[in-house]
Amino acid sequence: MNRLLKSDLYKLSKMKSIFICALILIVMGIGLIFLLDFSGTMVQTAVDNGVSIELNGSEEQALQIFTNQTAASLFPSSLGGDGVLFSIIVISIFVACEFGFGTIKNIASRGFSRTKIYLSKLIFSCGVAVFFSLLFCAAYTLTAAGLWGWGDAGPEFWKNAAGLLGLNLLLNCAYASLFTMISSLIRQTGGAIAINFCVMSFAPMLLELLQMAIEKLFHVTMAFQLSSYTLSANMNALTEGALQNDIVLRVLFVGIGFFVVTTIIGLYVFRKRDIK
Amino acid sequence: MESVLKTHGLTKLYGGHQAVSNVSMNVQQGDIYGFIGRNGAGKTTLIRMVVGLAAPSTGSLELFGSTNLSEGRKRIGTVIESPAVYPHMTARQNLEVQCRMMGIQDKRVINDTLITVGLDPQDKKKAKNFSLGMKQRLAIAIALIGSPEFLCLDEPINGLDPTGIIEIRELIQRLNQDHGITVLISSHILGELSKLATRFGVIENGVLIQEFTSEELWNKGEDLEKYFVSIMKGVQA
Repeated sequence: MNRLLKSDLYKLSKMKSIFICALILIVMGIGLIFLLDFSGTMVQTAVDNGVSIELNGSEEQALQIFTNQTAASLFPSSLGGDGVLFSIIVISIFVACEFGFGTIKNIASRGFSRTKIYLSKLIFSCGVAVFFSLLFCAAYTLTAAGLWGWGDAGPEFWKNAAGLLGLNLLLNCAYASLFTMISSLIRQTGGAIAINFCVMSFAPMLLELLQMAIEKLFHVTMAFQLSSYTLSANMNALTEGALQNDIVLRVLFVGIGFFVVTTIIGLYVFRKRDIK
Repeated sequence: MESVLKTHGLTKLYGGHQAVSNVSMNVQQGDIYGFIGRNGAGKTTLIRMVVGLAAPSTGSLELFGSTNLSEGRKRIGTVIESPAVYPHMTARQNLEVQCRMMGIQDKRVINDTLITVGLDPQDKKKAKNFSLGMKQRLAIAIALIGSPEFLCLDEPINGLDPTGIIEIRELIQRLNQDHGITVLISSHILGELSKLATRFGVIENGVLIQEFTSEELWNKGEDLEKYFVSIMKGVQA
């Protein structure tokens, strides 16, 4: 297993896409903060000139969103999954290209178990997803700290931040497992990117439609929202910044559930299917 | 002489279609065993079962006299159909990937392997800029990492120009004669196979219909192509 990991790490280090995506994420993180700063300046200027700007019926709330921000107040919004799109690109290429190039044959024909080959890919896919999430979070938060300071960043903040970050990284690993499963099923880079993107983007909407259809057809009302059990919905829930028990439990359930189920399916299919 | 590969009733079914049917064969150490057959005869499927890319539906196989296939496959090098290389990496980097996977830290192995296949002048060139012949030699170089005792080559000369074909043939002969590597090679280019192989197996519709040595062919006074055609006619009759 160590040898497979070393080999996969070397391959990752030679992929240009990982460095390009990392650079774009850093620029995005920094750029979003400057955009927020610019918007804040525009809003403040407008208000100073007598223009009324309200958010949810409150001028105070509008001013709060666009001004008076600090790194501590903005930290949760950096966990909204901005790195996931880039994880799709890199993981899809990393996993599916082995089949496209045929190099999976060089690995599978050398006596390594299919389980170890798959797990090596999964470990590095999780690594990529975690890396991108941390990178964006760092670029976003540190730029905010540079512009507006840390704000109220006492022990409570760091405890809360660690909890939010831990849950965010769990969801990122769940995404990585899902993308690895799909890439190893599709076995083609372009197709894997497309399907992974569609799953990430449209799954919540499709689940909502499914729930509506079930409730209408069977004249029932479901006790919970199906769409709130998607990875993206749970990532969005973390951006609220509050670590309430029900949210934490739901995130843990969804994150671990997705990770385990997609790993089992991906492993099973990879072990059973012939490699052409 | 030690048996490198032994199959017992190896069969592969894809749905209702029998791609390989009850093949029992034996490749001895030092052989260059040539698999002959038409397109779709089952040569590639059989080799894929030997190297672990496809699971047999029934039957079994032994490698180096043992049923512990994962250990046996560590002693095999493989080139299946088109050359499997990372196009964005140089020849040297492609071999570095394989070395890390095989746990080889000595960088001289890469230099020696590049020299063996004749790619040392192009070691820093990206594989996507290689000709097909060079890619095939790189694929063989990758297969040679780990000092395999048995090479499985599936259609290694397909699509090559005459110069490329000669280069690959001479390389395989050198590997067999100088390094003692046993070779299982499949091809439907019989002219080349006749210059290379010491034993032949004819496969048709997934069935191994005949085996013979190059000496037996020579004693018959037969050309391999004509002998193969006569075997096929016998099968169809």
